[in-house]
Formats: sequence, structure tokens, C-alpha cells
Amino acid sequence: MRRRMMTIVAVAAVLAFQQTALTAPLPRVGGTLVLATDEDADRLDPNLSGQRASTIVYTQIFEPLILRDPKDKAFKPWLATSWQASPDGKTYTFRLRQDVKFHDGTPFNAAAVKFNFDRTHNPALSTRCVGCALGFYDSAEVVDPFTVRVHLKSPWAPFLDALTTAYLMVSPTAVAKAGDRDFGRQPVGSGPFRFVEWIPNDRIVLERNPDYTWSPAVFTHRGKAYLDRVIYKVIPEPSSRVAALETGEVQLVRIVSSEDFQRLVKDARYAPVVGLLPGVPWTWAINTTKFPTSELAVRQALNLGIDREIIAKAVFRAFQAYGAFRPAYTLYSPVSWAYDKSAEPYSFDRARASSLLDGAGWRAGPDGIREKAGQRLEIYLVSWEHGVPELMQAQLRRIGISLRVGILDTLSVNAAQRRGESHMGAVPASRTDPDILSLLLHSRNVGGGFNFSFVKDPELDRLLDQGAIETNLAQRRQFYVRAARLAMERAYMLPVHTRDNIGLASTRVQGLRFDAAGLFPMLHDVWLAP
Amino acid sequence: MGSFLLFRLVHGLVVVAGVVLLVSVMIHIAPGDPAMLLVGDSPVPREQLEQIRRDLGLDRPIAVQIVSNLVRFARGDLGSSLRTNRPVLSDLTRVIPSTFMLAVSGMFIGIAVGVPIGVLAATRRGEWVDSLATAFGVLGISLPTFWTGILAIALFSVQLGWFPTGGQGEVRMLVLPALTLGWFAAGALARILRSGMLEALSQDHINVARAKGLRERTVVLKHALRSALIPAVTLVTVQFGALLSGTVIVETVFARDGLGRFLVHGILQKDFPVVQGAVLVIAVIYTAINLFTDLVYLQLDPRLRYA
Repeated sequence: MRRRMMTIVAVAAVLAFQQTALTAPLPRVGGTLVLATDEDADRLDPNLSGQRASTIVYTQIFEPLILRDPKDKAFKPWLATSWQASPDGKTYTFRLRQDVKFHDGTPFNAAAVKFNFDRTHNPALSTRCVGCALGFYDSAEVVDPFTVRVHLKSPWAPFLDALTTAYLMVSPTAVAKAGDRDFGRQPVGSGPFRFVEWIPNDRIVLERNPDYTWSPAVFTHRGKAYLDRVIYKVIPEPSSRVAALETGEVQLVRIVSSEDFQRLVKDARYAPVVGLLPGVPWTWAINTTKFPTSELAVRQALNLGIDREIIAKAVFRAFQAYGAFRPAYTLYSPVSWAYDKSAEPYSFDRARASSLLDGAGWRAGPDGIREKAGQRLEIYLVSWEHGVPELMQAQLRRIGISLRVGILDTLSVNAAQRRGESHMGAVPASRTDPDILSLLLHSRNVGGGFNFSFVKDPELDRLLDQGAIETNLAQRRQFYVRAARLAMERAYMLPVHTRDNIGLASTRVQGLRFDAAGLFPMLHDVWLAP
Repeated sequence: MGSFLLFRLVHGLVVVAGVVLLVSVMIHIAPGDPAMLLVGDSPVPREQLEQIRRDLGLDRPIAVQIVSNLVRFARGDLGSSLRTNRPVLSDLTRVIPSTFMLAVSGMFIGIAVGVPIGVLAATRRGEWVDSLATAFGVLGISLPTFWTGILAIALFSVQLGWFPTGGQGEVRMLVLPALTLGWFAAGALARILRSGMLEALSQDHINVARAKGLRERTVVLKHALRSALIPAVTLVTVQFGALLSGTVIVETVFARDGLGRFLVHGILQKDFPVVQGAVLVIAVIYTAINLFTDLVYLQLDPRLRYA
């Protein structure tokens, strides 16, 4: 009798266990995922292109040597199994996987890696890659079929980071066949998806790579991707993108307006897709060479006189529930490893702003706007988006600053900043490596580069240069913390809010994760529920 | 007739050449640095930007760039897009048919809806039919296509599910954009036809036709309409030219590839070869349409034949 009870209990336990195991959905193999993007790619060629519209697509086709784990941000192996940097930081040696093949059957090896590095840095090809080691790369050496050594002209600490995003491996045979200029239209990589067709301004179609067996440990499953096909559909108009999600024509949408997001996120059929971006948040570059923003007091008053909490909430409230679009008080977003509270010298303080301006001789004029020696405190700001500028305009008026706002197309914003016609302009810049700050504030990037603050500060340059060569992570971080603090104290820029990657997906989409940059979905592990 | 045609062709050539020259100069002196846009949404070092500028020839003086581009253009080489490296010619051969289909279907709906409504409004002048038709016409002209387009998507795609939200390749995808454009065209046509018909119906030869005992229907459609069509034909041809080059809004809202979008993107990125190639096509289209219009006039209005 007892034995019988035991059997019944045992059987019941097994059944119960099976039941719970069955309720966790198993990934379903098959199906087509359609993503809607706002812009068509320029070229599917990681050696030569860097535009986000292209990277979003080709990160499924091509693979890097290493990657940053999105969870702990540490470097992990991908096509390279191990790597070593020389003590002087000028030489990196990589051991490569031996089981990798490009989509055209070409084996992946050290010669292929060398080909990729040489091609990216071939001056005749004028690469537009973003974050690559231009100016530092010297040569690559095939030590043995699966060991490659990269030589830099001088040490460059961001190199490992560059490897995760800017150096994806293309098939040398395919480039030889298609030619350098045309390879971007017939991409051949080694990734979990391979290229099928590209109808310009309409869609790019990828299909599963049936031979894929070398997934990195960071992927949640080994072997081939679950999805049969991935289609990137170009839908430039934001409302049309969202409409396509609602009709079921697409399952994942990038860049959604605040209103649409708010409306659809309440619907059980859709879920938010959030990638928090490291690097520099949404920040205005302040022209330090043009009166009146050439005065430190004015720049500091700007940093003190805007209420970032209100601005971020007013424009992006719908996204804030997911940790995105928060107020930013320093030049690194909170998810950057160089972020530090000590680099946030300003809070919202109208009184202090006013007294700074008073102390600098700016007295309120008849209409409330401050004046000094016959000049009004007028500042011209250029951007391509409404929302934040108008709120700033209203807030700054309260401390006697007149903000003139110009909402223009990207070319005109760029022109106004380059010519020094504007006092403030937008420079959003996400990147996993904090060296991005040097692109915006180092003196060598003035005049033809992205330093629109026109800052030539030797002390800041020194800190940024030291950060760029320091290999000890803790010390490196300190250089950037100090650089950000210095730049903020001297008010070279005006950070406002974090800029994050927010989209919407149908709840059919399962297993979606972004890479450590917060921008690029890793589609290998994605599957579609029925 | 022969010498007339020859004259017009030469005239057309001069116009097209002039337009391309003017636009080339304008796009080069427009503000902005294409190199910064080509690298995308993230900053890069200055040396890299300078390398890209050198590669694209942007470091040369503007006058040299303009002349060099025009010389290349005159040789028949339309060049490649600075952004994508695709030959401009292949882009044009892709976008022109797409825009053409959209323009033709939009025009077709415009004519099929606008002409009857205009005639109806004129013959039932003052009645509720007239007010309704006029309202239809005014709304069609006044409502911006980006709004009517999105409304059409919201109603017919999302709510009713009758048509896809956009795209190209299937006829179903053409319906909503064509309706959006068609309403706009129909509105203008209806108004022109209404006033044209009213004027024609007050002419003497109409009374003669009625006195002869012809049916009212024949009077209206055969005699009055013919005179009223003359200004309408002008409008149709001008509209068609405008449709072919100005469909950018509808193309953007409905995610369709086309000449309008191609040109606008080219301008916004200072992609000179794209702008030159697209403007060349548009100039040729307009010139050809003007010539066609004049020929049609000669048919419709016998008074012109002996001028």
C-alpha cells in the first residue's frame, strides 16, 4: 500500500515537473522577422561604411574578433579565441577560431584578418568607418594560419573597443570578385545570417546561414539562428512605421515618437525595446570663441539655468518609465564606465546663475534680457529637432538670456556650427569607449573636425591623450573622469538628457537583446512566437 | 510643322542645359559639408574627414568642383552617388518607373473623378450637388498630402485592413498613394472644369446647338466640354509634370521609392551627382510635357493651327 502511494506521489511529481517545464515556451524555429527602419543603408561594407542605417543590417552578416558582453561589459571571444596586448600597447596578438567559414565557402583565417585591417586602412579607399584606429594602425602580420598580429604606430587604448564594433570581417575572395566599390552591394561575411537581396530604399533581405556553428558564448544558443529570414524594411515616415507595426506588416520598429510609444506600449500585443546608450548624452557644444558664450560666466549660467528634470519629463515622459531619456549633468551617460558623479558640478540653480551673470557685468535691460556695454545677451542655438530648444528658451529667459532657436536640416545645422555662426549646436555621440570625448573636445579636432566648441585647452588635451594610451583600466577611467570634470567646470558643453535607443516590438518577438553599444540587436537568438 | 518641332526641340535642349547648369552651381554653393554627413551619427577624427573630403574632391575650390562635375556630366557620365557609390544612372532607371506609375495612377484618378465632378457642378450650378462638388474640390487642393496620406493609412490600413501601409511591387500598394494624390489632382481639375464649363455654356454656339434641337447631353458633353477642356488640358499637363517630380511627400509617407525622394535626399546630403542626374530627368520631363501640351492645343483649338 505504502509502495503504491509512493509510486503515485512519484508519478504526480514527474507530471507536475513536466507541466512547469512545458509552460516555459520553447524557441520556435522558423519564420520571418520584419524590422522597420527609418533610412536605407549606404553600403553593407564594414571596412568602408559606418552609418547606423548600414551597421544595423550588417552586424547580422559580419562578425568581429571580440565583443563586449552586454551584461558585464567585459571583452569576450568571438572569432578570436584569445588575445594579448604587448606591454607597450603597440602590438596585439590574436588566436583565431579554426572552424569558421565565410558565406561563400572561403575559410576564415589570419590572412583574412590581415586583409580586413589593410583594406580598412587603405588610404585610397577613404573609409567612413566610425571608431576605427585611423592614424594608429600600422600593419597586420600573419604569424601562422590562425594567429595574427596587429601593429600600431603608437599605443591606443580604445583599440580593443574598436575591434568590437568597427572591425567586422569580410570575405577577401568576395571583395576580389565584386571589387572594392561594389562589395557593399553584395556583402559576404561569416555571420548567422547571409545576404539575399537589396532593393534600394525598399528592403534588405537576409536568410539564415545553414552552416553556422561558431556562435560566441554570449549567444544563448549554439548552432544556427532560429529565424528563416530577416527583412529590413525602409519606412521613412514615423507614423507609417508604427502603422505597419499595427497592421502586422512589421514586428519591430526603430525610432518611435513619444506619443505613439505611449499609446502602443499599453497594448498587450506590443512591448518596448530599450537600449541604453553609453558615451556622450544629448549635449550642446558651446562655441567658446564667439561672444557672449566666450565668457565662462555665461556658459556656466547656461548650465545652471536650465531645469533638466522638467525638460526631459516634458519631452520624453513616455520613455522615462524604462530608464531612458533621463536628465544628464555630465559628459558621459550613466551607463558609460567612465561616468562619475564627481564630474557633475551643476544642478538647477537660478539664483547662482543670476549672481554669476551679475558678477560678470550683465545687467537686466528694459525687456528683462541682460545687457553689457550695449550688447544684448543673445545666444543662437541650432538643432534639427523641436522640443528641448523651446523649453530651454523659456527657462533661460527667466535669468535674462535670450535664446534664438534655429530648427534646420542637418546640413544647415552642420554649416552653422562649422562657420561659427551659432553659439550652440547639437552633437549627440554614443560610443562604448570614453575616448569619444576627444573627438568633441580635443584641440586637434577643431576646424574641420567635430570639435564645435572650438576648444583648445592644453590641460584637457593632456588628460585625453593620457587616457588614450593608458592600458590600466582603473587609471584610464580616472583620466576620463578628470577630463569630464574639467570640461564641465569650464562649461565647454551643455549636457541635457541621455539619448537612448527606444523602439517597439510585437510580443511575438522573443529573445531580443541589444549589444553592449545598446544599438544593434543580436538576432541570432531571436525567435517568433506564433 | 516640321520647322516648328525642330525649333521647339532646340529650345528645349537649351532650357534643360541651363537648368542643369544653374542647379549644379546652386548645390555646390549651398552650405554644409557632405563628408560629415557621410560618416553618420557619430563623430570621427579630423584626419579621417579630410581624407574623405580629398577622396570626393571636396578640398578643391568650388569653381573647380563645379567645372569638373559639369565636364563629367557633359561627357554623358552621370557619376555615382557620394553616399552609396551606386551609379546614378542605375538609380534613375529604378526610380523613374516607380514615380511614373504613381503619377499616372494619381492622374488617372484625378481625371476620372475631377472631370465628372466639375461638369456636374457646372450643370447643376447653385444646387446642393454644386456645393458638395466645390467642397470636395477645395478640400482636395487645401488638405496637405502628408496629412491625407496618413489619414488614409490610419483608416484603410490600420482600422479596416483593406490595403498595406505602403511599399511597392504590388498593385494593392499603389491604391492608397494614388488616391491621396488623386484627390489633390481631382480637386484642382474639378474647379477648373467647373469655371471652364460655366463659361462655355454661356457662349453663343451653345444656344445655336440647342436651337438646332440637339439633346442637352450632347450639347454639354460634345460642344461645351470641348472648349472647357482647353484650360483643363493645360492643368493636367502641368500637374503631371508636377506629379512626376513632386511626389516626394506621398513617396515618404507610403515608403515608396521614387524620383521625388531621390532628389530631396540628394539635396539634403549635398550628393551632387544625384542632384544633377535627378534634375536633368525632371527638366527633360517638363520640357517634353510642355511640347506635348502645345501639340495637343493645336489639335483642340483650330484657331491656333493657322497662326
